[in-house]
Amino acid sequence: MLKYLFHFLTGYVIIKIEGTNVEDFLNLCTREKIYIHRLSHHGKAYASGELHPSYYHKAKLFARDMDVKISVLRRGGLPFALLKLKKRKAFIAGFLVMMFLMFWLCGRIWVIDIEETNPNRRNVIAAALEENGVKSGMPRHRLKPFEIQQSVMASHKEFSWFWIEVKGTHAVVQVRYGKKPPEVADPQDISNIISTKNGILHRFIVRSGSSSLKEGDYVTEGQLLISGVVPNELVGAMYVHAEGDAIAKTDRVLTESMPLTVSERVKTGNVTKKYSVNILGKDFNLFFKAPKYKHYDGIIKEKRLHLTRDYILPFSVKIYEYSEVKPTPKKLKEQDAERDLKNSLLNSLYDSVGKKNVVSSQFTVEKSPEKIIVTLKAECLENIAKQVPISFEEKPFTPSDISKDILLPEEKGN
Amino acid sequence: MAHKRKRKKYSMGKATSQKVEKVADMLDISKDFLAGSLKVTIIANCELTVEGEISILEYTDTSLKLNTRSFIFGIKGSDFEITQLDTDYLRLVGNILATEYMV
Repeated sequence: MLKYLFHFLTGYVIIKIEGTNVEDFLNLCTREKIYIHRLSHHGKAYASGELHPSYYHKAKLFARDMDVKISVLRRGGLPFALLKLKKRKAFIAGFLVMMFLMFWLCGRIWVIDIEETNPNRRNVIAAALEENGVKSGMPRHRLKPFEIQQSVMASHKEFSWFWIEVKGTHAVVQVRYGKKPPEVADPQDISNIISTKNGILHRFIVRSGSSSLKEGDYVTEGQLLISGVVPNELVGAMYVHAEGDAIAKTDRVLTESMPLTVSERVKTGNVTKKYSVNILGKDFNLFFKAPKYKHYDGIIKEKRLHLTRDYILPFSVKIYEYSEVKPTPKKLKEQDAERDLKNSLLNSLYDSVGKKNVVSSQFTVEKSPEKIIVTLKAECLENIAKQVPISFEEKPFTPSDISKDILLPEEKGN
Repeated sequence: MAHKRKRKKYSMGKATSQKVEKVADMLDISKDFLAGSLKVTIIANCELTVEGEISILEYTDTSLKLNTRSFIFGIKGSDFEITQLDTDYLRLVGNILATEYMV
């Protein structure tokens, strides 16, 4: 293969060998290191083979000695192809311009893909990229993934991983989110724990502070659950940061309704296609008027020009496909509407408290000719504890004050 | 003058070659290794390579006769194309039907 490539690059002539002493001529050529490739015989008329152009005149002298006639049938290879092209200056200029354009286009980032589906998060990532100068059309060599990674990770603490993978003219942005560590309360912050909801205490643990409540007690919203004021025999009261868990059985009521007659968009079968061209990020519409339909659904399809899968060029065609629709009233089945509403309510309950925390649930259905209303009453296990700081006019006693100011003088006196 | 002496290309006479072949027989090693005998490799019936000192005696599109040191090697077939030709190497592609040795 490499031999044929070398042969093509250096050029060759295909010679026609005629005469009676072809064999002697070939033997002489091989002895004198004139190599003839792809030697073939065409019946009894003549033989032909490929020869390097520089050996042609030497071979012609040998042919005369051997009473053989050689002539050039065809010239081939790159040098001869370039000689032919020498006269076609416009073609060469066009080719060079095309090569320059391809080189220029392939040296830039044209498509930035953010691997995130949440629109809000996508906007945050896009803004972070813009802050660091990453945009469509930027030169590829200016995109420094390590520097951008450090800058973005420093400014966005919620990202646990950020990386830009450059594939040809295509940059793929990968982001991973880390879980925030639980906040550690400062023991110097004196606080109480109050209830956020009405409920029956299911699991009640006091780690710090004092409380007179026990499991099974009914508590109301705003009621003090754990007090940060702990009675002390020495100083009367000690002030601490109240800590504990208060898991209570709470009642939740969710309601949703659905009309039994809905408007359905039925396709009429009429479709209009309109086109626009995108060149270097700018859209050029190839149409002037919006579709003539009163109601329609639109789909946009984009076809990008690319050399390989990763070398995407900044040229694309957008196809706007408008399908005419006719709003038609449709009566829903009561059973289907009820089932959909129940599923929707259960899903929203599971999203808010978690499936394992739902103790019991009960549905109530109200039906009328126009709509259906479903109410879900559920008993759930929830953490109803909420920290509330205690405010003092003067600095209160803390355990550290007790040990330093009160206990030490007594010890000294003894 | 010693420095003006040209180094001769290595080649053996027929008698020397026969002696070397005898030695190769005694040592039970390949004659190609010691005597530089002709080495013919045929791949199916489409490709043939000949390694050794050769010269072309007859060449048409249906037959090829090669002169070697000890015999004439003939190939018969059709659509012959000599893709590579050197003083000690030949590669032939085509439809090979028969080979013959003429001593």
